[in-house]
Amino acid sequence: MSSKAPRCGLTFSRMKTVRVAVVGAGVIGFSTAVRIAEALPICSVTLLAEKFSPDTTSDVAAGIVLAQEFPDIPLERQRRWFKDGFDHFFAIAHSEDAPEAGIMMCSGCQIFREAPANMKPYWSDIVIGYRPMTDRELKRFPNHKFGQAFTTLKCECSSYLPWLEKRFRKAGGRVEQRRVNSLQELSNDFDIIVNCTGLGSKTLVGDDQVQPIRGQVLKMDAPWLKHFIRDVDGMTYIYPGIHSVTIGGTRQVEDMRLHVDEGDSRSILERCSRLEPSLRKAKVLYQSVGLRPGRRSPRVERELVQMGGRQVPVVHNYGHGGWGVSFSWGTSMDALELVRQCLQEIPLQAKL
Amino acid sequence: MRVAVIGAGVIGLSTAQSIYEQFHSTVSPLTIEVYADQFTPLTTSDGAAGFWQPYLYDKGNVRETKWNKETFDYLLSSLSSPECVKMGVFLQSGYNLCTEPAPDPSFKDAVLGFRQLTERELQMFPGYCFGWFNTALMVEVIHPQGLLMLHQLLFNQNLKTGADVIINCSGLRSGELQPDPDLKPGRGQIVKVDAPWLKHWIITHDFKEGVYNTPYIIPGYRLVTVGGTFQVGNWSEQNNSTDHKKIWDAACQLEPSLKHARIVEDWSGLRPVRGKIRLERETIKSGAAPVEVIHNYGHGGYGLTIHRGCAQEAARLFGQVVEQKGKGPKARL
Repeated sequence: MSSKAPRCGLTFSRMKTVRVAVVGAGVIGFSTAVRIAEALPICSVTLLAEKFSPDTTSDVAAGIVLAQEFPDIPLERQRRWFKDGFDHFFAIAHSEDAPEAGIMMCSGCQIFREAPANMKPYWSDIVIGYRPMTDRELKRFPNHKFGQAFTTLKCECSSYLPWLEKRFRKAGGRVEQRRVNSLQELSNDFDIIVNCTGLGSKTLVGDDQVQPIRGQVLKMDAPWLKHFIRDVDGMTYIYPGIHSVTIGGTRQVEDMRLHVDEGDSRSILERCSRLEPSLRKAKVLYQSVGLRPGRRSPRVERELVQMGGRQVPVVHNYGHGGWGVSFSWGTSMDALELVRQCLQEIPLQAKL
Repeated sequence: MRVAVIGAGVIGLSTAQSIYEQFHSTVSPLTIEVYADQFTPLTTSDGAAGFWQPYLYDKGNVRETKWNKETFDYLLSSLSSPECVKMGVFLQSGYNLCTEPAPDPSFKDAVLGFRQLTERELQMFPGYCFGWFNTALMVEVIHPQGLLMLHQLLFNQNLKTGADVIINCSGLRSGELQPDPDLKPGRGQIVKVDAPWLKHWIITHDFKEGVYNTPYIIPGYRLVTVGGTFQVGNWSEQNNSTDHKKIWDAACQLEPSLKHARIVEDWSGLRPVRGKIRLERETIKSGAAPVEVIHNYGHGGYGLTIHRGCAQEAARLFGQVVEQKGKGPKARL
């Protein structure tokens, strides 16, 4: 804060800085924190979290930018979320920042055992070069009758999150390592609370809709693989990344085990090798487990919460399931708008 | 039957392999000996990026287009087995960029998923207004086990006189064995860099500059090959700093993220350039007995691309020689 008070008889009252707390240091937390810090100079933003990269759920994710339809969100809004994110990652991928931010372009396919009902999903004109796979291309997958080929992006959070943090600090943001046990404990020090705690929201705000969906992945040394392959009917995918190929996966609802399950490892290797035989010659570098913050749809909304004699605005941005990376930039834009709305409602005669 | 193969690049070894595959059970004894001054990793083939793609247009040379496609299909079929890793074969997609609209290339039906570039894709490459996207194959010869598999067929390297058939796969140095004014070096210099975030090849085309004289970026197994020189008549195998700067500056403009790539090494090689590939028989009358020669050289910048098709054709010609010499199965009745 500047200490240069004008040296004259008048005192100017400064616009009070609005103190914003963003809870959560995964891809949603940092994306939201960056958005707020960059767009709202009147806000002093502090990001608080117990875990930071490389120990967040986001770090386990392969980070391929794909979309699915959430049941409770209007299609137009989801489309905007996805497009925002795609354009954002696309711009970074074509800049010098790409390697540091962990963003790369990736071509590949999604394959279906039976042709899907919707041949032109809402995201098909957002990804690049979307087209059905040719018969010759499908020959490699004898158990699959249909496929979509396109080019999309991959965002590796173990690089992206530190890159976002750099951007956040540059915009004046502060970072605090701290486990937040209740939103109440923040109400004295902050004017607006932004909740990006993912799975933590289950206990932090008592949201029963949130459920962990366990996912295990293997990181393979297979640098000859340049295309992603995702089997939409099962849970099988191969995502080549910058330094390793992520293969997976599992979707075990309400399973909180964070340790590697050898049975899952064998199943993943077997299913992926069937799609890509060369994987049988690849070395396993390491394995990871993450608990997706599952929910019917992401919760991106605001509310006023009674905390110790006052109504504290809380903006929620959590519950992205296995789609956090893809929808991080888009939902964080909505969260920013909600924070803006909260700002407008803060009484002008704020406590000085 | 004693066969001498001259040259141990991709053409020599694959021709030896095709002859072995097709004749070792019917022609007995069959000795195949490979003679060369350089073996992997020091051949011209080793410097190649390992990317399957013919020149854009075949100029009516339908034989070569057929051999290119045959090679593609042969490599593609190897993908269904984990052996493809040892062979260094893998799929990779990418962009062919032009500064003006152009007719579809000769290989559009050979590759997978061929299509024109969308507007958004073209926006990724300022300065280019037209192009194509497709999935092609890589054959990374640098991986030692690829050529080692072929090596296992062939042992004896002592030069013996009295070969029944000579297979001339000596590439650019063919001119030393037999003058060929049509055979010239097409010098190429490349920079190998570490940029593992790149997963697409990018080849630019400028019809005024000529083939491979404008930037190309081809990710390989572990390193990315950056290039764009094709200097016909230049015999120098030394790296040239002017060429390096030209290649590097152009590539960084095409792909800004390269600025952060670690440069590993430069390399220069001489493509064996010829108007068209010389793939034919010749009977050389020298001394007492005529010598049967099968020529298979002059593959320019598309040796890897066409190697299998040519090798099979050379083996077919070899079959004719076998027939004539009465060394085929019929002769043993």
